Amino acid sequence: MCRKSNLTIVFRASLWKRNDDNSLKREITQLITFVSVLSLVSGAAYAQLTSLPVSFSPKEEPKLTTLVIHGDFGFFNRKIGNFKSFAGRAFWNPGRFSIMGGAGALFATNDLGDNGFTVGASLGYDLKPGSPLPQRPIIQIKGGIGYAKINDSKQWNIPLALGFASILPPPKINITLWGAPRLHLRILDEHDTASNPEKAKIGLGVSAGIAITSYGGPGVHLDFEWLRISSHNEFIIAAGLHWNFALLSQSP
Amino acid sequence: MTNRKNEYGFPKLELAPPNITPVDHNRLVENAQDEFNRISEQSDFLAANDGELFKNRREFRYTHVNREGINEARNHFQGIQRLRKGKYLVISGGDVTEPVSHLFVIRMNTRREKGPLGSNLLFSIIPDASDEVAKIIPLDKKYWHAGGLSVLGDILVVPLENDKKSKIIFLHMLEPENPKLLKCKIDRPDIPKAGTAALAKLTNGKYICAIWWEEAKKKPGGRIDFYVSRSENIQDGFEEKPGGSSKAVTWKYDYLDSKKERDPKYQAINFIEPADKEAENGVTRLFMVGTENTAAAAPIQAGKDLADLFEVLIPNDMFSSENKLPILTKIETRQFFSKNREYYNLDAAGGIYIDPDEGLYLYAGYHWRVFNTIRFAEFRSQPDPATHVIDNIEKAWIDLFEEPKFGGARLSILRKKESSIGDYSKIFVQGGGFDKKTSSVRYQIPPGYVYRLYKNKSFVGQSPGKDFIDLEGTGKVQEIEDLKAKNKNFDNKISSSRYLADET
Repeated sequence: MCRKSNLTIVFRASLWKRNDDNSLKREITQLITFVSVLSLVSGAAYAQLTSLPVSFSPKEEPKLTTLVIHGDFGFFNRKIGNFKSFAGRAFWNPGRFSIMGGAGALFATNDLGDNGFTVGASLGYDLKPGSPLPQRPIIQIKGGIGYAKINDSKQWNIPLALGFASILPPPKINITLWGAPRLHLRILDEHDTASNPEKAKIGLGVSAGIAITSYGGPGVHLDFEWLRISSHNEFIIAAGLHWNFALLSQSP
Repeated sequence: MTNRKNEYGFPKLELAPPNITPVDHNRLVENAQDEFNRISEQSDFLAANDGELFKNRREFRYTHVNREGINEARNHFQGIQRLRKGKYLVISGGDVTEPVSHLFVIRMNTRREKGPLGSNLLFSIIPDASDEVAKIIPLDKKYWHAGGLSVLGDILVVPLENDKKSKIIFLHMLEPENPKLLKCKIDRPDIPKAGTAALAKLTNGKYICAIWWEEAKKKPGGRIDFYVSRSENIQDGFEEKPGGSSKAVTWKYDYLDSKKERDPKYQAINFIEPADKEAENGVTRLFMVGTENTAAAAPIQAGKDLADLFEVLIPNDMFSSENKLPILTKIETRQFFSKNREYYNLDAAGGIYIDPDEGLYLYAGYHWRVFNTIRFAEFRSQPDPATHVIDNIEKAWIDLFEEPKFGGARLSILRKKESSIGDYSKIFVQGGGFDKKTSSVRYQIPPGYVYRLYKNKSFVGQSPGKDFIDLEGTGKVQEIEDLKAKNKNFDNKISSSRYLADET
């Protein structure tokens, strides 16, 4: 006998009860509203975030598969040109794995510059997964790769991080605290090699963040990112919106 | 395995026959304070498989997952009681997501009917398949929260609430897997809370039911509403006010004369009936134990797991024209310890068990399911070392402690058939290993038996004082307060142990 299994995104209460049209309409309206807000916010985002794939998106326990969509804006202390940017990140967390993909587009705001883009991906594995035992932090090892192309400059970022996180569930919200120190390899391919002959550089970095997520899915987050490389410091402070979806198996 | 399909969310409790007479007494306790003090401050960890109750859309119910439509983290286990049929325990819970209140009937098949259960996780962190939730009983869809439980004989008292009103129901637990709803109940249409309830009998044969709750925005907010049955038959129900709701007198925590240092939020209260129940003419003496964890955000915060003992004097004619109030006196507070907070928390479930033969036990449960099990802990009674003597090997016990003077984690060896331990690195004591950790020993072994502690694994070695030390049975409680002082060769060195008769 054939066994059918459906995967369902649960973003409102009682999805399995939504036989009534009103419930369905309400859920679709909420999703459209969220996507609109996300687009507005991410229109001002710094696309560099996607080329530094270090963010951490822990979850409560391995059996709960989640999908988290982020939109960010923030400050980046190394000006790289006059751009408008658009970027987004998504985390898919099946089992003990966490897979992140992100992409951004940079649009030059004057005639002298070229457009650019960034892409990034990461793979994490929960060495210690989430559990109902609050004194045990979630520990995740994570590797990533990011690529940015701006004018003739190309940059590869390859971080290897160890993340620590805790999820606190007070009524109606989840509070996530995380931190992730890392080793960071950067490979540059720039047109002006005479001024910067060293192509591969190794640095140390740390990311940390707090996310407050309503138990319905939408939430806000604040991320800090610091990197010491080539004798200088880089940092990003990013705030953003996210929506945390639970993917439930709805086997009959 | 039991077929549990569709049991979760559809209350369908059968009514008890009107002429039934439930067993309605626990052992009368000679010295409640002494027995309360002899509850061990360390516990043995247990777990029951949660079976196939939590599937598909209910997969994350009663977990810490806090997501709309899936589970709300305030769904948690609320009360625990061991039943007269001693292999059974019941745990209450509330699922606001469904919404429905629950009673989980746990059958510990690998444990003994009488005496302490002892840990069923000593040799495996996963409980035997036969230690399981035998039955889930949905109680009420309108009252989603079932609170702290209490047992009097075969009568289980279950407080229910829904944030607006509350009520108390009574179940007949003669057949634990098929409980029946007794006809009586206590309605509290104007009181939103009924956190925990206790039941006892007055000296005039009527029942007294006490309900602890906390009044919002009051400090201290603790209240106990006392209800009295109409007759000596509980199925005749409780005294009512003219409007039809149940009649009560309310005691406030402010009335306590002494030891008001805390503002307790008891998650369980249980009555203990003493042998000298008749305090004076027309006044019933009872004892009451209230349990709580002091943390505001347990289990994330550690807090202290505390139990308070009270003496309660109740006028049998409480509802006379001047409404005589019961008098409560706090006698003592005790703290219970564990290095490992992953098995119980008195902010979730706690409950006193009055052993039919001797001693009081405290059972305590954790808030949520962990790895498809329901976890709980047993704080068993320690016998009186001055007077207690045994002559039966099945009553023997050996406690090995991690620290001198009986501190730290404790390995309890309670049953002869579980007493042969060849490798201490492969056992689980309060969730962790116990190899080379023993620093003090307390034991009670009948005459003629010897329990041998070995330095090496697999019972290797033949030299007394060098390879092993013997614990010789005298029938009395004996102690080695500090292994180092007795023989430093063995302090933090024990790796295997067994009864001498087991050697072949």
